[in-house]
Amino acid sequence: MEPRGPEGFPERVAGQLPRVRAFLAKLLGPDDAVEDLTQEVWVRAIRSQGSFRENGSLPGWLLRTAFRLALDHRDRRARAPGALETEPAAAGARASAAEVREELARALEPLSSVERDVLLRFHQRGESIREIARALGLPEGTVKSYLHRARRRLGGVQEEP
Amino acid sequence: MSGALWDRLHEAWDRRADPLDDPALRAALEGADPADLEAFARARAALGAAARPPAAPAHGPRRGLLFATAAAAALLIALGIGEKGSGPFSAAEKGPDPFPQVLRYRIEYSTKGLGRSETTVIENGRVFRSRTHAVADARIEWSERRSE
Repeated sequence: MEPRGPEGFPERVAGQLPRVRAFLAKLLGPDDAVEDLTQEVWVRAIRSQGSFRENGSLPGWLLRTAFRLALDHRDRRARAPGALETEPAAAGARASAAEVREELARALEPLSSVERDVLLRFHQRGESIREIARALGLPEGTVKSYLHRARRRLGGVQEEP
Repeated sequence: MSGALWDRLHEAWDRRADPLDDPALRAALEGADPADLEAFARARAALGAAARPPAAPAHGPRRGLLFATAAAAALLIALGIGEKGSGPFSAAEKGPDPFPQVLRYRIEYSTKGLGRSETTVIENGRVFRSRTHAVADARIEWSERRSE
């Protein structure tokens, strides 16, 4: 029997599991391990509930645990015999083309047209900063700013850090 | 997320590297706030999706190529063509028909890449024709008949 945690601890953990699952799915892509790792986060949380501090951040603890488990899983997968590639490429290979297109379209929605153009030129077409600057008639520093701002927006960060 | 951590992420992505391959960045991310971890995961997933090449049409040449190549290889193996370490065509090019008077067959397959395709026809164990040209799709055809 695990030491009991704060009142309603299991319910609070359960309430965070969809967030944990979504985080793992973003990190690992369409990987069968997402469900298993989400369960592992749940098990670890329940096992250590006795030591959980009420003033600690439960989401933070759960996501950091999920992050560490995802890294371990990723490392194991990369070392596995016959592993030809690591994610996200491998994960992407398992996603359908339609899923990838939809995922990308959703992610690009918040970007301005120039941010989207710069981002796709760099990450999809493999153009260098210099090539993009030449093509768009912009200084290289400006292109880099657009690129960095586009990445932050992909992460949902609205303000300059 | 701190500006310093974003700067390090950008530096990795500018090199087209995965931040998760950098032990120092992994350690920094492990100590990040949950919202920052989620922002990183969202950005990384989107960049991964952007970096994937546009998918081939569902019934396009790539699928046809895969089928044709696999089918041709399977048929060659089934027919016993090829010698260990020499590739499936070597025996056909240099040797006698592996099934003289027994089996007659014709294989045609195409490989496609970078807008050019090579079509090879193997007939009765010998390469009958091999040329490079543009084709719209890959295909495989064969026929066999036993000698009378």
